[in-house]
Amino acid sequence: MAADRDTELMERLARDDEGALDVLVAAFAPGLLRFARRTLADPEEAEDVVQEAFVRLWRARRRWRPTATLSTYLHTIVTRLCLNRRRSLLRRPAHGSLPADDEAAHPGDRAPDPERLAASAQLGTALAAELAALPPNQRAALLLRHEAGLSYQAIAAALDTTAGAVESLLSRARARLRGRLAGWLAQGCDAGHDPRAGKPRNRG
Amino acid sequence: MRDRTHPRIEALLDGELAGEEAARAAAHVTRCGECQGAVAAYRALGEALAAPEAPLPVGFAAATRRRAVARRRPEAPLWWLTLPAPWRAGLVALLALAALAGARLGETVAADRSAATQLAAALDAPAAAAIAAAPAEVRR
Ligand SMILES: [Zn+2]
Repeated sequence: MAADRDTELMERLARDDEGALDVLVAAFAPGLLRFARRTLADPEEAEDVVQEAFVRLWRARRRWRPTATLSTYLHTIVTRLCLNRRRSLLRRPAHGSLPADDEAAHPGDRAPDPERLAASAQLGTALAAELAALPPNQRAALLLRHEAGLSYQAIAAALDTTAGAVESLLSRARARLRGRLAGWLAQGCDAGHDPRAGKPRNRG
Repeated sequence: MRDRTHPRIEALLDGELAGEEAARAAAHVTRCGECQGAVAAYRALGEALAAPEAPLPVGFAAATRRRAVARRRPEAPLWWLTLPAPWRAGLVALLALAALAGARLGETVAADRSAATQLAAALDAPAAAAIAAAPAEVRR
C-alpha cells in the first residue's frame, strides 16, 4: 500500500471521515483476519481482535504519523492483541477450529489444479495444525513475514524484540515446519534454483 | 546455516541482505548444492504458507465502523469527573462564589442561583446544590 495513500486516508480519518474508515477496513481487514485466524484458535475472537485494531486506529487518528506503513501499523496492533489474548486464554485446545476448511474452500486466485487440490487441502490441514503448535512468537514472526511481508525490523518492533532475534525465530519456525511437513513440502522442491526467484511475492 | 560455510540464506530470501553481502550470498548459492536445497525448501514452505485472503464476513465493515465511532464521545472526557470528589465539591464552591460575585456587578441573584443550580446538576449535585440553595450564607 502506497505511503501516499496511507497519508491521504489518515488525513481523512483525522477529519472524522467515516468513509475513510470503510476504505481502510476493505483494504486491510481481509489480510489482518487471515493473520488473526491463524494465530488465534477461535474465528470469532479473530474478528474481534481485528475490529479492535481499527477501533484503536480510529482513536489514534489525529496522532498518527507516517513513520510506518498502515499495513505494518495495523499488523503490529493485531499481533500484540493476539499474543495478549493467547496469554489470557488458559490453554484452549490449539487445533480443531483453525481455518483449514476455509483454505480448502478457497483454493486460491490461480486456477486450481484439480489433481493437486486434494493434496493441497490435506497440506492445509497439516500446516494449520503445525502452525498452531508453534510457540506464539515463532508463529507470529513467520506469518508477519510471509503473509504481511514485514521486514525483520518491523517484526521486531511488533514483537518487542531485536531484528537478530526475529531472524532466529524465523529460522527455528521454518526448520520445525520443514521437519514436520517434509513429506508434503517435498512436492514443491522441483522448482528452479535461482535464489532471487525465492523472494516472497506480494500476493495481494 | 549461520556458520561460516554458508551465508544467511533465509535472510537473503527474506530480502534482509544488502549490497556486497547479498551479492556474495547469491553467488555462493549458485555453486553450493546444500544452499540450493535450502532455497527450494524455503520456496516450498512459502508457497504452503501462502493462503488466499477470504472475503470479509457479512456486515464486518459496518460493525467495525459502529464500534470505532461509538467511542468518539468518551474520547473527550468530562475532565472534572476525573477529579476526586472533594476537589469537585471545592471546584463547585469556587464556581458558585464566582457566580455570586458576578451578582454584585448588577446581575440578579436569582439568575446566579439558577446558574449555580444548573452547574450543580451538571457537576456534583449534592455539594453544589447545597451551596446554590444557600447563597446568603456563602456571601460575606
Ligand atoms: Zn552453501
